[in-house]
Amino acid sequence: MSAKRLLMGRKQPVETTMMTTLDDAELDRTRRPRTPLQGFGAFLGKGDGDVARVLVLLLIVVVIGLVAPNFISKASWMALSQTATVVALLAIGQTFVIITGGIDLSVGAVMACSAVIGAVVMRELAAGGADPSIAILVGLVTSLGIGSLAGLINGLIITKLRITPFIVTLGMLSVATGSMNLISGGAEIVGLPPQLGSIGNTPLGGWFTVPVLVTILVAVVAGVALSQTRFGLRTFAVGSNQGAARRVGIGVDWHIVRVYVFAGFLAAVAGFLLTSRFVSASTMAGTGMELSSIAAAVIGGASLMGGRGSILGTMVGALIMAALQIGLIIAGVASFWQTIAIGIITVAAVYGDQIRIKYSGERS
Amino acid sequence: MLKKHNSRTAIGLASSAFVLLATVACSGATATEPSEGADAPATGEDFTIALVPGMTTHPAYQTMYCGALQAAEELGVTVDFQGANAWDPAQQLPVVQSLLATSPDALLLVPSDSSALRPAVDQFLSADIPVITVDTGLEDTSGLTAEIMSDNEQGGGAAAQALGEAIGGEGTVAIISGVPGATTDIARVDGFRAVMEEQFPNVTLLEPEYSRSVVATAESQVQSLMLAHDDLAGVFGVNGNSATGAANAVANAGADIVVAGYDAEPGTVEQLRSGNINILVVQDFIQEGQLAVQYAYAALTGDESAIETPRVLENIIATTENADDPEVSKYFYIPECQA
Amino acid sequence: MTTIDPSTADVVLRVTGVTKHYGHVQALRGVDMEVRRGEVVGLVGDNGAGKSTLIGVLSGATTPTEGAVEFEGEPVSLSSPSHARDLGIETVYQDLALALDLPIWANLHLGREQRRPGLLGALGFLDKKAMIASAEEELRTTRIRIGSVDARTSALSGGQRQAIAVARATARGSKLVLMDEPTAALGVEQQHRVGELVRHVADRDVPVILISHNLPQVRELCDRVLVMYRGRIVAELDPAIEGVESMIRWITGAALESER
Repeated sequence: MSAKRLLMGRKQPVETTMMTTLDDAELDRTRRPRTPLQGFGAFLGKGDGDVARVLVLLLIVVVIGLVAPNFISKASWMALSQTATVVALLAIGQTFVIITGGIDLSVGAVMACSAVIGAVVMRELAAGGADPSIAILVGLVTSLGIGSLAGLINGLIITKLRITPFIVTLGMLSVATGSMNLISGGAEIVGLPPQLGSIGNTPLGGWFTVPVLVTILVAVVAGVALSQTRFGLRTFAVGSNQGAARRVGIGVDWHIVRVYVFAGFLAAVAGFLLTSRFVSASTMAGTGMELSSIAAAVIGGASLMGGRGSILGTMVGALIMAALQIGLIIAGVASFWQTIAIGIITVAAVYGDQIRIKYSGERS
Repeated sequence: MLKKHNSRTAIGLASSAFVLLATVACSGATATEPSEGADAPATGEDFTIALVPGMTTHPAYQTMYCGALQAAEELGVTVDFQGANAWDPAQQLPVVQSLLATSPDALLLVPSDSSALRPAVDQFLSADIPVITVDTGLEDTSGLTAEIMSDNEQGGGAAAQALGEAIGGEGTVAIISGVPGATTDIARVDGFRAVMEEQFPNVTLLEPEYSRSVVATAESQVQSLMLAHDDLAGVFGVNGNSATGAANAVANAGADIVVAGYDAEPGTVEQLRSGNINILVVQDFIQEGQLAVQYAYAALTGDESAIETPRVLENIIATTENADDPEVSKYFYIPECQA
Repeated sequence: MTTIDPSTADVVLRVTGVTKHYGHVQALRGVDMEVRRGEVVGLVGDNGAGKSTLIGVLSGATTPTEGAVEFEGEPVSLSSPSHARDLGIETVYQDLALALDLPIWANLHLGREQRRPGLLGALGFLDKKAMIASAEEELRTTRIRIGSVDARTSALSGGQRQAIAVARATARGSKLVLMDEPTAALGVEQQHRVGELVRHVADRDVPVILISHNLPQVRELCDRVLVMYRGRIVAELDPAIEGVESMIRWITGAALESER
């Protein structure tokens, strides 16, 4: 085989003046003078729409408050904050999962399952004469372990067997529910150490119960982790473009596993807090909670396509749902309207986000 | 708190009357049956009767199993207790179908769905195996030897009677139901509403909220209702979880609100004893189990006259005051029946 | 095989006898090549000629069946894309491999995020200020002007995104840049701009291997052009001398037939 010889001369360096600025016109668009309406639109869109979400929450609170003044009261806050905790905790885990482009349909079932198994452990220890605080501690560790294990299994099956998260977590929903019923006999678990009740129901400083404080703490930690740490940044990267994340050397599989473990862990936290509130664990506690958690995350701006979402948004989403649940009853609205309202708000929130993204000049 | 104490006394008085009635009714029923049982050993038959509950592990069905075992011992027959461990027709159906292969002499079935189980029942009937439905029923009852059920309307009504008396016939009363459309819940609510409207016209009855049997949801609904209605005097939770949630809301608020619940599961009984639930409707699962076995035996021995169908059983009212009375507590559900 | 100029002081990459078999399919049948400091080497060939497999080997995505790769005078075994990156071999993928939902600065640092010093860094806290500053610096040295590096990458046009992908590949001590069809999806004007970026990289003494089907562009940008045909490098052409017609004759194998 033959080949040609050639000169190895280098081309001349390019003149600096040849370097053109890329798409200046497009960049300038944001600097154009705006009408007041556009200015208001931009204000609503701040923080990826979180400003708009907070305003919607305030609007709901104000409107219900005008119709039913009792809604603006300490008792109402206690009910609302307690109600929001379960959905909020599940939705925080769900937000991480959704940002990676996944979905976790098992959070409700895992919550109930870990709570029931933890409660069985506490009941047996208490019946065996163990110190109540030991029994509670062992029960807590068991619950958290079960929840994390379920998340680990979800994550491993999704990443190693390459089955879509929807199917894997749907399976886990079924497995967790079945295991729970096997162990509990389908009945509520009672006979738990009564000291549990003081964890779940004592208001600290009058306004916040332990479950509410735990939820706030979790939300702050998760929010900081998502927005300030490498773990958070990579969570977005994995969901935004998994192939790209792989090619820049991110351990995508391991990252996804950790996110599902986190969701399972938080489900167990939610379950344990529920157990502490009622000093019993119900097998029905997780019913429908997977969808509520997804709704809260989506109202909060998370995209089921992955790559988008925030903990602040999700918390606002959970509060909007709780405010409707509590507020519409206080306002005397027939109970079926709650579910209708939540459905409308979920879809409207997504539509609002689409509008916002369109006007922010982003392209796919 | 003093007022609450008074109201509890009232419940105590009211419901003890009810319990008395109920016990009389029940003892009347059980008095007739053993006479048939007395003939049984004479026939020398060794029947095996299959009992398929809605779900094997639930205390209610464990209690039913215990009742069935009691009757079986008297009659000298064997009870084969088989079922799914969740309330799910898709799981119950294969159990029922596989039982056919063991050729039991009779089938006692708690159908988890009013139509899904009918084809399996037909298979038994065409094999000349008598079928009796217990607790819940089938839409198409043709060919059934008997139907035994607990009277949900009566239970709801009894709860209304006790609750109405406890609150002195005044104030607002809320209902926390389970899943919209569940037939047992609808019957309980209807019975409750009918008695409340007729007996206590001054009571304002709210439209039901639906907790979907989630305790936390029931709790927040009652918390909200307390805010919406200053004069909320009573809450009726139409199943165990709804009652537990309502009780928790009332107890945490320290409110003077009477809570009525349904079903004596370990959880609700604990709440009843602690006074968070004041009134509890208890179904007589022991008798359901006994009757089912007795009727099956009657059918197998050709004693059709002993069978009364449909047989509707009344419920018992338990209160915080009489919860430790053995005449009442014997109806509380047994978490696990020791065979 | 291609004869290599013996003056090898500036050789950054040397590939010797690399083959790759996929079962019975021979994607590479013994490739030898060298890349020197600061040159732009075009890699052309028909579909299936082995260009992508060769780029895969060089970027660490594909393990060769036989042969040796020497990088900066050291024999290396490129086990993964991140290993190649650690050595300083950067790849600009055809699909750019950008996370569009992330801000521009994050894409420029993805996989090599800077963390804060001390305890916070150990906990995984990002040093966003430093990354934003260095992102701005990188874009400045690459002479790419973009409004704010804090903007979402999805807000950029196709050409801008391409520029970001190139900037990421050429930033911070990269020693060899592989570009797989960097202009395939772009309009004429944007192709021109990316071409300028490519020259700019080479001007910083970093060699570039450019895969492209756009032969006029290859002629314009490259210092020399390697032609692949059926898993081998069959010709090394001087674009200053050889025209598009001649390249096509080599790409299609017609030139080989006539030389035989």
